[in-house]
Amino acid sequence: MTAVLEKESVAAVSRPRRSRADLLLLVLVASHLVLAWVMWTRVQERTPIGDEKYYLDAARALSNLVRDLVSLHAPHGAELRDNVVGNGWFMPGTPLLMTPLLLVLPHADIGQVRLYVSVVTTLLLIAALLDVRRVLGPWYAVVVAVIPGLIPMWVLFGATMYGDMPAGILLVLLVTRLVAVVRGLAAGHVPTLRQGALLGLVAVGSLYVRGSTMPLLAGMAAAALLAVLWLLRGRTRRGERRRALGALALSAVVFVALLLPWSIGASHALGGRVVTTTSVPLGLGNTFGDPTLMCYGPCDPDSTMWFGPVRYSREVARATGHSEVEVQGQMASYALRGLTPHRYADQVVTDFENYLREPAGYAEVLHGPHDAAVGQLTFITRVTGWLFWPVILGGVAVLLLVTRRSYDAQLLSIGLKLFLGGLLVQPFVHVAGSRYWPTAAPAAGLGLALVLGLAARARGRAGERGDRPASRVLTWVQGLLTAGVALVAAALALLNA
Amino acid sequence: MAKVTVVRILGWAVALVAVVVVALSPRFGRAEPTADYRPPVPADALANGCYPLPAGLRFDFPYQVRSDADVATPRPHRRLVLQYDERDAATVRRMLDAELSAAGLPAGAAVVTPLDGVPAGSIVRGTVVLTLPRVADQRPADPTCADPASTKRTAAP
Repeated sequence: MTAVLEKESVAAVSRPRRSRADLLLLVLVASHLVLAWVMWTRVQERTPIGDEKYYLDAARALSNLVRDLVSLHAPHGAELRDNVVGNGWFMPGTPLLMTPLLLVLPHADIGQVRLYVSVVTTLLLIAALLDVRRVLGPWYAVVVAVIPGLIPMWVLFGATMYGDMPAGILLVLLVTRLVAVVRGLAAGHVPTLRQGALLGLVAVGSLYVRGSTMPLLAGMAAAALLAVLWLLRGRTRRGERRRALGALALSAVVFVALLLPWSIGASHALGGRVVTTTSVPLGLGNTFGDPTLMCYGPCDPDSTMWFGPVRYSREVARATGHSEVEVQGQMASYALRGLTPHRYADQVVTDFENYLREPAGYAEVLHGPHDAAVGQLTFITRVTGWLFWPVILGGVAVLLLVTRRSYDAQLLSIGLKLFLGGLLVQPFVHVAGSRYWPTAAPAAGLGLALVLGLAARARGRAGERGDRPASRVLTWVQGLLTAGVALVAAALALLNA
Repeated sequence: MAKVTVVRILGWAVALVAVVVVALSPRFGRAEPTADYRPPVPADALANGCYPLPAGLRFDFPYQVRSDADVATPRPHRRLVLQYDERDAATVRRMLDAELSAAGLPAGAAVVTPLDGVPAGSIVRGTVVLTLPRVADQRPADPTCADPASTKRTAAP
C-alpha cells in the first residue's frame, strides 16, 4: 500500500501538469459523450435531409455489394451506378463507414443509423485526441476536446451522414502523423514503411469522406516530399534518403491504389473521366456563372440549381452520345463567360460570409418530427455562437502565425496552415454554407492550442520538452505561407473596393 | 508489453467479428436503396407521345427540347423551343427546310439562332424556335404527360 502511494506520488511529482491535463481530458471526453447522446436524441427520428439521402442509399448499395460478393453472385451494376456513383457529386466515404451497420441491419431505421454514425464519429474523435496527446502533448488534446469537441453544432453534425465533421477529424490525424514523421526525420529517424502506408491511408480516407480536401492533400504531399529532400540532403549513408523516399512513395501508392477503384468505377458509370468528383464544373458555374446561361439559357424551372443542370446534361448526352461530364464542363464554361475579376471577388467574399455566418444554421432542420425542444435549439445556437469566436480566433492565428520559438511549434504551424489554407480554397470555387466549417474547426482548435502553448512558454510556465531549436528555414516557410494568405486577402479587398 | 498484447487481441477479435458479419450478411436480407439522388432521365418530350409533332414532321439532327407552350398572340399557336447540337446553323437550317416542307409546313415555321461565342468544339450549338399548330395532350391518363420534366410544357411566355 505504502509502495503504491509512493509510486503514485513520484509520478505525480515528476509529471504534475500531464496528469492534471489527462484528468481534464477525461472529463472533457465524458462531457462530449453526454453532448453526443443529447444531440442524437434530437435527430433520432429525423429522416435524411439533402445529401444524406445519397449517403444512406450508397451505404445500402455497398452492403448489397458485399452480400453479392460473399454469396458469389454478380454485383448489381445498375444499383451501384445509381446509388454509389449517382451524379458523381460525392465520394462514398461515409457510406463506407456505414456499410457494416447496413450489413447487419439492411433495413436499419434512421435512429439506428444516426446512433451508429454518432458512435463512429465519437470513436474517430477519441482516436484523434489520443494521437494529438501522444504527438503534441496532453494540453493540445484538452483544447481540441473543447474546440471543436464541445461545440454543440459540431457534435450534432456527428450524428448526421455528412462527411464534413469526420473529415476534419481525419485531417487532425493526418497533421499529427505528418508532424511525427518530419520531427523524426529532423532527429535522424527515417520513416518506416508502416508510417508511410498509414499516411497514405489517412489521406485517402479524408478524401473519400470529403472530396474538398484534395487541395490540402496536394499541399501536404508536396510538403512531406520537400521535408524528406531537405532534411536528408547529403545523407547517403545506408541509403537513408532512399528509404525515406520509399516510405513516402508507399504512401502515394496506398493513396492511388485506394482511390483508383472509385475513379475507375465513377468514370465508367458516367462515361467520362472522373478522378474524385464531378462537382467542380457545376460548382464553379453555379457559384460564379450566369444562372440564366447554365443550360445555354435557363435550366428547367421545375428543378433545383444542382439537379436541373445535371438533368439537362444527361439529356444532351442522350441526344449526342457525349458523356454528361463533358457536357457539364462545357455548360460551366459557357455560364462563366463574361465573369469579371470584380464579380468573382465579390462572390468569393459572399461565400466567406456564408461560410462563417450562422454556424448553427443547420440546427433548425436537424430535429425530429415531434421536436418541441425550442430550448434545445436556443442552446445549440447560443453555445455554438459563443464557441465560434475561439474558432475564428484560432483560424486567424493559424493563418497569420509566424513563430521562431521552437521547431515543433514551427512544424505544427506549417501543418495547420496547409490544413486550413487548403480547405479555404473551397469558397473560391463553390458556394459556401454553414455546413463546411466543421471540417476546418479542428485546425482552429489546434491553432488556439499552439498560440496558448507559445504564450504559456513565453511566460515560462510550461516546461520545455526537450524541443529542438527553431529553424530559420521553417520561419521562412511560415512567412511565405502567411504572405500568400495576406496577398490573396489584399487582392480580394482591392477588387471589392 | 501488456498493452500491446491487449491491443493485438482486440484487433483479432474485431477482425473475427468482421469476417463473421460479412459471411452471414446475406442471411439478414437485402438493403433497398432508393436512388433518390439519381432519378432516371425523363423521356424525350417529342417521343413520349404526349404532345407530338404535326404529322410527318421529324428532326434528324441531335436536339433537346427546352420548352413547349401554347401562345395566344398574335394568333394562337404552339411555341416549341429546341437546342440543336453538333451541327452548324446552316446545316440545321437546310435540314429543317426539308423536314418542314415534307410535313407541309412553311420554312418560316422555324427560326434558327446559333449560340453567341461558343467555342468550335461546343456540343450545344444553337436554338430553334418553332411556330406550330396547337396540339392537345394525347395521353391525359399517362402521368408522364403531367410531368413538366418530360414534356417541358410551360405556361405561355
